Amino acid sequence: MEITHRVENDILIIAIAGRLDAATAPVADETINKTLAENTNRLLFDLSALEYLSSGGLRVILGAAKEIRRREGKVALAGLTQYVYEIFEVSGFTAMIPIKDTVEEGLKDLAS
Amino acid sequence: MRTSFSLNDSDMVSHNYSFELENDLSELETLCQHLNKFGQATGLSEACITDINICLDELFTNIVSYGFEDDVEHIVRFAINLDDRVLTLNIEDDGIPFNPLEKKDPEIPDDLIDVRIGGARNSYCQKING
Repeated sequence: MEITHRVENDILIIAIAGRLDAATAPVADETINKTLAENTNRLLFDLSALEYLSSGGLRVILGAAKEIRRREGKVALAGLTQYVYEIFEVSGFTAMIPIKDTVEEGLKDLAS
Repeated sequence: MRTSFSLNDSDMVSHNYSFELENDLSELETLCQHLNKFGQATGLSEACITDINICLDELFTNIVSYGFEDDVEHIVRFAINLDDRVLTLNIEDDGIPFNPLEKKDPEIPDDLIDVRIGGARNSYCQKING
């Protein structure tokens, strides 16, 4: 698993690649929390290179999204593969977090 | 790490596959490797193997996370059988008995801020199976 981040137009973009499961979740959680400490309130997850997601990994993404919402900010997901989308759908979270096809669409949504 | 698996020519015909994992979350990657081998042997689609992977992942993670009260190494045994389009997954461990089918689905709130993180693992597996 690899996590990278960058900032565009005051929007934090966190890209997660590889496998995000219960084994990799602790490292992912720590990495993302350190990034969130930069006082951002707009967050876009780029999941286009996320190959595998289990509930252990899902809770990391939801935890970060919930923290942004607690700051009264905005969060969105972008680039989900069909499989990753189904994981969010089965878990009931597709209605709570905006999901966009591409990072560009996600950035537009969060900028508005 | 003590991981083993068995797959021979006769098994290939009947599509039986078995392996063992230690009760350690680092074994999730080994689980994935075994399922990829099973997929190659049976010709099941990548999507099907991924569904099997997510189900076994959730059950194994539950076993490792909540199944043992000691710090001793335990072995979790997996047996997969594919027979005439019927797939049977069997998991055996010596941990605390637990039936995930008796666990109620967690309620999903309307707003993200009200989400209780965790607790969705069982329903997750059941819905994918459904």
